[in-house]
Formats: sequence, structure tokens, C-alpha cells
Amino acid sequence: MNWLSGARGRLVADTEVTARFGDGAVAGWECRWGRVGAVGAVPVGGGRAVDAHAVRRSLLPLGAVLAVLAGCASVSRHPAPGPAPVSSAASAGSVEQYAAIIKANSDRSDHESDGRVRADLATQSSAAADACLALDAQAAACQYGKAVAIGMEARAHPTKAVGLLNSMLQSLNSAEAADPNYDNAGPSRVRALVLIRAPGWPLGPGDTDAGLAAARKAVSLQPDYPPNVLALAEALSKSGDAKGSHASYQHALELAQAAPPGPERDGWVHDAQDGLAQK
Amino acid sequence: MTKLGGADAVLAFVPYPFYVEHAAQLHLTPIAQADVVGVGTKEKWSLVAKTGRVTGGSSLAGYTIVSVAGYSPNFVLHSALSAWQVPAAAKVEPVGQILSALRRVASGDQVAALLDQTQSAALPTLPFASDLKVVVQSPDVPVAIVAVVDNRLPPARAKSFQAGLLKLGKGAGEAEKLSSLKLAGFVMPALPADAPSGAAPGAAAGTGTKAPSGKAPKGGTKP
Repeated sequence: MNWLSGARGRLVADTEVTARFGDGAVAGWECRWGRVGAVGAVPVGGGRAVDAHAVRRSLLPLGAVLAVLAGCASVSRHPAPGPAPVSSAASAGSVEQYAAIIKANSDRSDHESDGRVRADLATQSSAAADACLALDAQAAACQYGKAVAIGMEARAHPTKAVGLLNSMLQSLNSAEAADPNYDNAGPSRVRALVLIRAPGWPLGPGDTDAGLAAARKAVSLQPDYPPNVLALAEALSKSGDAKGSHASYQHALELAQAAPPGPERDGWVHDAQDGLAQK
Repeated sequence: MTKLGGADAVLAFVPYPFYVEHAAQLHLTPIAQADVVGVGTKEKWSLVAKTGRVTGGSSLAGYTIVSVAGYSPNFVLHSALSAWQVPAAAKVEPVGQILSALRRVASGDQVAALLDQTQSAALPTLPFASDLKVVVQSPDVPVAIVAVVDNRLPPARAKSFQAGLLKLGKGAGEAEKLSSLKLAGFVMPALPADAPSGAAPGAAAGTGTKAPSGKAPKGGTKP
């Protein structure tokens, strides 16, 4: 499976400090979510990542987690998937079927602009994950699916996001303990993306150091899977290693270009090129 | 900064450190002060160092002071650390990854971290908290300021807008409107006495007050 391949949509938020009170807005925050549904990496000004940017860094201590999350709309740079899959948890019966439902819902949610639909998809995915865990609580697919479902819920309910992201990390821990290579080292990769994109201490579980370690682990487990290398590139960038990040984006691009043609390959190439362009 | 310098920027909602650093340049005239949920209208910043290493301003020689407010050396050195005479050899740097910075502090690097109130309150949650110590605190300073930029809002409209701001968050159901921004409302600005004045010539003055402070105003930006 290639779901939750990760590093797409790395531009997550754009913060402005110029208030437009006449329009009823105190300040503008705009979010674009990656596939993981995690919050975080916050470029400022023209969508360029400026980690030490003054204003953003000072707004976060204002307790702007919710502001960063609020109003996040799904803006995909990639083609939308086909018709929505049947997503009734009740119609499934095996671990594989439940996992497939969650994957399909996650894919659809990535391209869904209606918040109510995303909330419904999150609810369905959560039910499917619970049913999956009831079948086999130790299955990596179920724990991973639970993590994905929680990520969808965090996206659908921003005010609960920080607590949900902590739960998501716990489920990823369990998935990793069951099978670290599941979904091409998905537990480590997704953990990395959550840790590097989520609001950092003390507002959220974000931890760049731990995120970088998780990304390195994903690459060590599945070195030829482009999303793992993309996650490492993003983690290196966030930790200030521009040279290492550039090299990883370049490597990810080469890996992606060698992959079979298809929308996923195109997405990986796009993400790698996007990362290289930001250097 | 570029946006606030543009002719169409009329109002700014900025953190207090930003105000300290840029009020003069941007001609910011405060009209309200944010009441932030969980923090209030004012906060104290805390300088954190490795336990036993820093005992006064002079011991910061050779240190790097990191903070989310590090983009504003004037705030760090003259507002937050106004109680100490920080040697010129100390550097001030902005930092985005405050957790990583605190790990450096705890590991014994020549780094001290200036934390806002939310961060300093959460210090005990860190597994290496016993290696860290708050060595000095700032006076109470505003959390965030709403200001008119370069006198671009006529005084009458500024007053009207200010009155509207002060009503926000008050009354039944009002809190809900601001909750997504983690704001409880706004109050009249009450800046420390050493706060810079950025009002442009002809700006509507008297929209706020300055609290007494023992510190003289400081100007200029340290490199």
C-alpha cells in the first residue's frame, strides 16, 4: 500500500500580521494540509519557509495553535481521486477491508473541500479502525489505520487537534511495534511528519529532533521509497540543515523519477521539485 | 514588515516584542492590548539557563540568548532583561525550535533561553527540567498590541474602532467569537514606561497609558 505516503503539501500555513478589521478578520491564517493531516510547518510570507521568522514565532506563543488550525482548507496540488468509495465500516469484515476503507477515506478527504464531508469521513474511518482493532488489536494495519483515522479527525476538528495528535503518535507507536515496515516504514515516516509539522512544545507534540530521528529510521528501513526520503528532506530543512535537505530532495527526485509512471510518482516528483525550489 | 510598510496596511496586530523593535520605524500607535486566553493582558518572560551556570548579567558574556522573540534584540536586552546589564559579548538570536534550544541549554552549551509565560509555565513538563533554572524574569509586559500604522486611520475612526475592540468578548456569547483566536478580548493599552513611542506626527495620542517603570527608554537596535 502506498497510502499516507507523506510529504505532500508541505506548505501548511501562511501567517499575516496585517489585520483587516474592516473585513471582520483579526488576522489571516491560511492552511494547506499534507496527506498526513498533521498541523505544522509554517512558512511565512509568500509561502516560503522561514523558520526563524519573527512574527510567526511570536504569534505561536500567543496560543495560536487554534488559529493556525482554524479555517484550514484542503487545497490539493494533485489530481483528485475518482468517485468516492463505499465507506461504510459495517460493510467490511476483515482487517484488510477495514484498512482499505480507511485508506480510501483518507485519499478522498485529502481532496475534499467541504468540512462536513471531511468530518463524516473521519467518523467513518474511526469506526472502521475501531472495528479493525476489535478483530485484531495487534495488527499493524489496524493500529496504522487508527492513526490515520485520528489524523483525519484532527483535521476535521481543529480545536481538538493537539490532543488528537498525541493519540495519533501513540497509535503509530503501536503500529511500529507490530510491524515497522508496514506501508514502506509508514509508522516511522508518518511519525516524522507529525513531529516536524505539529506545533512544538509546549503547545503541541511537535519535536524537530525526534522528527528527524524518525525520518532517519524510515529511510534506514526503506531507503528506496521516495516518501521516506522526502520526509527526511523536510526534517533536515526544519532542523536547519539546508545542505542535507537539498541532497535528500535531490535523491528523492531521482528515486521518484525511477518509479513506475502514475499519479503517485507525479506527486513525489512534484514534492521533490518543490523542495528543491525552496532552497 | 513589507506588508506593514505598504500603503494599504492600516492596522497591525503584533506581539509586544515586535512592537518594541519596529514601533518607531513603522510609526505604530497602540489602540488596544490583547487579552490572551490562558495568559492575560500581560506576561512575564523568563531567562532559563543550565542550573548553576548563570548568576547575573555579567555571567552571560559569551552566551547566546535564544528566544522566539530573538528577532527583537531591543525587547530581549532592554525590556525582558531590563533588570540585568547584559554584556555586549552576549548574542541574541531568534529560534523556532525552542525545545531543541532548551536541550542545548540543559546539555551545557553556552546558551540561555528567554521563554514567554506559556513556555516557562510548561518547563516542569520537560524530562530534563531539573537541569534548567529560571535565573531572571522580566517585568510585566503586554502580550500583543493592536496599533494604527503610520497614522493611516483617521483619529475618529481609530477611536470608534478602538471602542468596538474593547467590547469584543464581553457579554453573553461574545467569548465564542474570539475563542478560535485564543483571545478573551481587548483592553486599553497600558505600555511599560520604557516602551517605544512610534506615533507618527499628528497621530491620535492619548489612546493608552504608560505604566511607571524604573527603566529609561532605549533606542536603536543592537547588531
